[in-house]
Amino acid sequence: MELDIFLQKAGVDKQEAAGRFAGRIEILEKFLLKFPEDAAYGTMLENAAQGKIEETAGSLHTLKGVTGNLGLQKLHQLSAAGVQYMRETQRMLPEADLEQIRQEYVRVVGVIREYRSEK
Amino acid sequence: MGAKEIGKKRVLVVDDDAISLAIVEAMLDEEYEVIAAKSGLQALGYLQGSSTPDIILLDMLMPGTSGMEVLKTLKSTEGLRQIPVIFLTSMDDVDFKLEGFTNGADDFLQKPVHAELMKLKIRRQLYISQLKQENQILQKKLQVIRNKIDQLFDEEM
Repeated sequence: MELDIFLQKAGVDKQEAAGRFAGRIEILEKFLLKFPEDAAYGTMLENAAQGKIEETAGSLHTLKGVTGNLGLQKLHQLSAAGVQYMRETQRMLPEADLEQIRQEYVRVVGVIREYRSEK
Repeated sequence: MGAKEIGKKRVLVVDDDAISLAIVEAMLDEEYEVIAAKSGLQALGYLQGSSTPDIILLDMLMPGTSGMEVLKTLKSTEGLRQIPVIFLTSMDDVDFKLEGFTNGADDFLQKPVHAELMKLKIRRQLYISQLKQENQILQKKLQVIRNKIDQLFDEEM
């Protein structure tokens, strides 16, 4: 898989990312490949499963930060919306919203693993 | 966290998010010596050591010791309060910014960080910091001259 196609499939706006990384797309690629091992998503799920509202919001905030930095647009938008909801309502993220994040995360990680296996 | 690389300014980056920390490090490491700290506590531990950074990029929201707590500690500590601090934040919240500026933050940088904007803000803060240092030296020299003039007048009288 070509880098451009990989970025597109992962949901990264290459032009925006290139601007942000001052043209050094290799940095973005390097860290995108590490995303499946990042702990934020797993920690968020654990916290949510235990009903810990503040901790879930905290780890979702971290996921929002990571995905924002990596330019994973949809996952970033879903995380940001989740954080906003939790901060405003002080309630746990609804299951439907969590499921949307889960589906997008699994999809993105699948694309990254596929690209990684071809490299 | 090793010895200072010759000629490079030292930037301490504090962020609990490992990937974001590594990205900032990768964006800066050609131009600066980057020291990474994964928590506010780790940053404070480093700052108590012998080597001080030239500038600090500080994440605002971190579990445990928050960025604001680190900032307050820094600004109340002799020998550290002059280090410029740029807050990293994903929140476009005026109250947070007001609190940050009130407590001595020098600037803010929106996350996700833009490499060129971050470098520009760092350069600007380092320049301001340099001017402040030069101003202090000049003030001291001026005081010495004042003292000499006073002494001469006293002798004449």
